[in-house]
Amino acid sequence: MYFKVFFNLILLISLFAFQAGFVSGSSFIFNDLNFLLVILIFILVLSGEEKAFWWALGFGFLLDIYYFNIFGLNLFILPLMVLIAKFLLANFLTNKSIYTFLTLVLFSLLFYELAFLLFYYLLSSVETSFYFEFELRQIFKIFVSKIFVNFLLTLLIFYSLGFINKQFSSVTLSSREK
Amino acid sequence: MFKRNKKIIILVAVMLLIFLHFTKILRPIENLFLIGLNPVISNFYSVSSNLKSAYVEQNDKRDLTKIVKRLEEENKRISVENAKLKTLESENRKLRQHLRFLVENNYNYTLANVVSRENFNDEQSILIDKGRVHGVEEGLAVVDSYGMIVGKIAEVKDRISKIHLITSDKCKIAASIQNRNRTIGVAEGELGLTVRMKLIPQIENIEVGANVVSFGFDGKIPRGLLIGKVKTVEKDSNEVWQEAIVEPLANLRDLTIISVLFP
Repeated sequence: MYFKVFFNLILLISLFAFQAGFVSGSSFIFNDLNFLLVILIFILVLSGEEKAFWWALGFGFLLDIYYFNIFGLNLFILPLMVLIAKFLLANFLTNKSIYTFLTLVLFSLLFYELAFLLFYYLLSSVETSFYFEFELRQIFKIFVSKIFVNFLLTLLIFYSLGFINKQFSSVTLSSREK
Repeated sequence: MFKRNKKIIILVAVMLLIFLHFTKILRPIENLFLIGLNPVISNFYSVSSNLKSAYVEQNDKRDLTKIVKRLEEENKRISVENAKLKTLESENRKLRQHLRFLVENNYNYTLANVVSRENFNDEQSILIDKGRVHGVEEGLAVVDSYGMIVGKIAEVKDRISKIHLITSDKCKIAASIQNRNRTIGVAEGELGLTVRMKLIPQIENIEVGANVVSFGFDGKIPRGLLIGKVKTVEKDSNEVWQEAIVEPLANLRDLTIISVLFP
């Protein structure tokens, strides 16, 4: 059990380091990739909510100590995001098809980005010393760039897993075997 | 099924972490994580940055790229030298008038690795692996290997600091144009692409191509650090002030090592 925890911890920290270092230093739209969010969705669907919550807590802690956001923001938003994704998965998206993953990634990205924007907007309204300006091009960046590139990442991971393990082989809603 | 009490445990853990952070009890553990993470993240960032540079180079014609790069390097070196000489010349004149004050050319500095970029809210910010324990404080100037200013320290933690790049609208630096009148204004980043110098009196004559350097008004940023060159001048006789668009000369895309200058 302790080996499992240690292994998960190393994997979590490595993924965070990759996201914070490699992805943030990339050019063009590749720096909009959000490995942490996409991996959380995959863990939620494939391994269950308990593991997803602990991973969300780990990612949230690392994001909060490393970056200069208000401490606790990621710690709250990521587990909340997992909770909402779990609700969607249990009530609306009941299979493990690629469409499920894409839908969950879409909702998660929107929730994560908009939660941040909303928090900082509210903070700037209350705290006069804190300045926050919302620009329309951020909407473009969220809706076009980030969603598109993270959809590509989801497809890549989904089909790679399907290639490695037949249990996760892709399922399309339109194919029906007679 | 994930039991409800486990969700409560997660919530309590979150509240506890936040409490321990703000009471500074968690700080040693946070610093331990940062000490361990910084080298790894820094290496990832370097690899990514090198790949980015290699990709950019591949797209250019090789011969032309080499010539242009060589000329750019030489131009930057000459611009920095020129800016320093002009600043020195002006300061020497004042020395003769007041018979005191030494021109200091050697700066106190610390080198730092760029480890990450912040993406939230489209900020033009980078993170470096030096912080409060290394003497870094808010408001200090950050320069590249040519001595050209790339930004200002915005926020500081124990072992990591955030820099607003000069093209960020959150970066404001008192600047002067190296013209006859040593026109003073405020250089402010714009749209993450360029720098706009504001609050220039209408009566000042600004020439395109003139060097823009730091003014050193607040004492934290040394004088004479090259910011860029005037690209266009926006002058409207109905306005109180005129403005100049400044093209930053530092390469802000491929920063991997920078220097933080101490006053």
